[in-house]
Amino acid sequence: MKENLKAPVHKILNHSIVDGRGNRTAVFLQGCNFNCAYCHNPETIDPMDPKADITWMTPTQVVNRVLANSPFVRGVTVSGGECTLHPEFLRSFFEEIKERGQGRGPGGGDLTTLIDSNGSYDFKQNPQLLCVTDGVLLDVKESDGKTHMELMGASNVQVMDNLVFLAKAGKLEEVRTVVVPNRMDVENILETVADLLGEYAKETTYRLIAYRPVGVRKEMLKSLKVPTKEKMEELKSLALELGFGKVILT
Amino acid sequence: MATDKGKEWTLQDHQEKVKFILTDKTLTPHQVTYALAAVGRDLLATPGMAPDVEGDYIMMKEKGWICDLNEGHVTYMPRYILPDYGRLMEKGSVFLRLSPPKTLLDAITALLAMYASVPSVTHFPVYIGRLDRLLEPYVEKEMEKSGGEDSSYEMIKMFLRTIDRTIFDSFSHGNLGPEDSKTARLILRAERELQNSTPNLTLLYDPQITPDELAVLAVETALDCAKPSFAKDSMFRAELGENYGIASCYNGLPVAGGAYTLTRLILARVAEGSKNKEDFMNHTLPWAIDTMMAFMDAKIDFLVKEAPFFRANFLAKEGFVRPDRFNGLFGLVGMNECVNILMEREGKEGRFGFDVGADNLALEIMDFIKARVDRHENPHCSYWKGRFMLHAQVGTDADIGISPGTRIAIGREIPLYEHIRHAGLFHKYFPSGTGDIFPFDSTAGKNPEAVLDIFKGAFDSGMRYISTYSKDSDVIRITGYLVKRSDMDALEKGEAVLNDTVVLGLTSRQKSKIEERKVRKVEEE
Repeated sequence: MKENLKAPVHKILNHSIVDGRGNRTAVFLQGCNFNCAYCHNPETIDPMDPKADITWMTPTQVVNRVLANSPFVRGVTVSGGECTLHPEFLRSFFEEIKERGQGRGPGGGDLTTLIDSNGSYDFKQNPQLLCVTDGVLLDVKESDGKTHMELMGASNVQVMDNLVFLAKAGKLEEVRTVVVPNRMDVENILETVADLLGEYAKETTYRLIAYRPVGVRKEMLKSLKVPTKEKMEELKSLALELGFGKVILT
Repeated sequence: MATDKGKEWTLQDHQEKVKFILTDKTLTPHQVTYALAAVGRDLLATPGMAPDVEGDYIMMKEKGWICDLNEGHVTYMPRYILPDYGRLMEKGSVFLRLSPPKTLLDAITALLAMYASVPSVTHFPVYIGRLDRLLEPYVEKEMEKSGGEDSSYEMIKMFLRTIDRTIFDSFSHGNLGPEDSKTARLILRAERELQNSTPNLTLLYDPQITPDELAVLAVETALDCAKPSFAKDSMFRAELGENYGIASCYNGLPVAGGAYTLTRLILARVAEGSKNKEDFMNHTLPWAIDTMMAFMDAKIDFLVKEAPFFRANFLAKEGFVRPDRFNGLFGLVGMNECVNILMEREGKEGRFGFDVGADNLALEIMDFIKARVDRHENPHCSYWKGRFMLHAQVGTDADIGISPGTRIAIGREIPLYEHIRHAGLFHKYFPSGTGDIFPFDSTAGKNPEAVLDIFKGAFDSGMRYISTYSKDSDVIRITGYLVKRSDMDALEKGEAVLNDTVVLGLTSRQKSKIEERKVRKVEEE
């Protein structure tokens, strides 16, 4: 029953301009099934973290929070942690956004729904969720399986599968990669993603995020290097050459 | 009888003032001339005021309740003039010996020539026209002739650069939109390259007409060089008619018209001079309003009947302006501080922007002012049905601890959406101008659609005018006008700078915490 469906909400940002296109409300859920070395909000990883300031909320309660920001937000992005750990909540939440968010966006537009995900969830199995999801901001953290396991503590097979599936379904809002130059071959990641996407690359927005040590666990700091501005620009040029429609450096 | 703080000026006082002006090394020759002109003008008293009312006015001026915004006792030229430049394009001008322009070069040089003959309170034109509508036919012709946009871009850029170097005042204001055009896009591109404080620019924005692509381009430009601002075109059109323009800081006024005068009430000072809310609402405020309107009546009467402008100036004679499209503007500032003073005197804790009671008091004050101003008739204000138009004055460099119009004070900003909604409560009172500024973190440049979403939301929430810049831009918006940070730095070191408005910006920066205005971050809870 919808009333019993609750998710652990870590934080809600009423105003965010870095969680997808336009001005959005960003909802962060607690709990993640990856353990990325460079995670900048590691306090969201452990679903049972006693120190985490979590509020269990129903879909309706979160929708009310989003609608309170009307008419300033174009929609909502759910992130975390890893929000796809709560697929039923997501589906119910998005269904209600679609229902109650009509005409509530800037200039009278309908509210849109985005998921920020590490790509571990098999979206193919949940067409009802995809139906009410306008797009997925997909983290392709590493295309090399071994390095992905080393850095994230998890496999990337589902991620790469999702990459192609979401592109074909028209739901790939953005591909995102955090650039840690000394731990990953970003050029290879870009080439692999471009290759897998094929003709869909030109419709794809690629966000390259420069790793920053802010919020990162102390024990991880030594092994992670910040990319130079020049390196980021080089990667951007390469990405554009490879045919990605839009490349953003963050 | 010129007076200053209760003392009547002697000839020696005036001579000392003249010497001070002549020996100031930070003034350019033009600035010296304008300062000397003001000395001459201020030798006169305001004609036509009853002695007791004039006494009240002088007393209120010295207490800081009323401010004449550098117009002095006598207004001999309309404060703001918005010529119908379209007429220049169609018919040319006899006085200026210009025939209707035929090419883009002809059009931009004709406009530049005309600007030199459009006066105002700043001695420079406060309105330079709807640039895209004026120039689009010529730009199209030039693009067709040259087979590309390079020559048009160069000419537009040189036009804008010349405006900045010959109109030394950032209150000079051009308009774009709401429709898309090649000219609008060239202007936005050129402004980013030029990074000048002049001209001020506004996009007359209507989401039903302006494509998102142009609006997003305008936002990107604003984040880079603090202009254009956005005006809610549908709201201004409904109030002022189709042929309106945004002039000076953000003033909505009729084209082929303008404002005779703008005088302002400094509400915070009136509140300081009141015992409590009852004294303010029933005694000091109505007294101040009536005194100010009497002062405005007298000045407008002199301007219309005795000053030669409407009979002799070519702008009036050739139909670039019409006397029946001028009006008086009743301005006010310091609502934030006024409300807080009154709340304190009432023993209440609520403060403006933070408390419904305080905000309701502000609305009560606005309703009172509007009702009293609307009851007053001036025979020369037929444009606004015989009444003065209310105006949220954007502040001056002398305003220390006085917030512009009805704005929340710098340093007291509230979360973004609440702040916008709060502004939206008041914008409806001011058809002749108000506006709010929301600077963003420079990261916003990577998601300008987000800023546009916020602007759309703002216009849906009652706002009529909104501005932005990013914290890294050299050009920033002070209270309504633009100044380059690098110019302010130069002036602070004692170097002369070309633009007259820099000194205002510098004083505001030093005294009014302008650089402490809250920068909206990429994320906010």
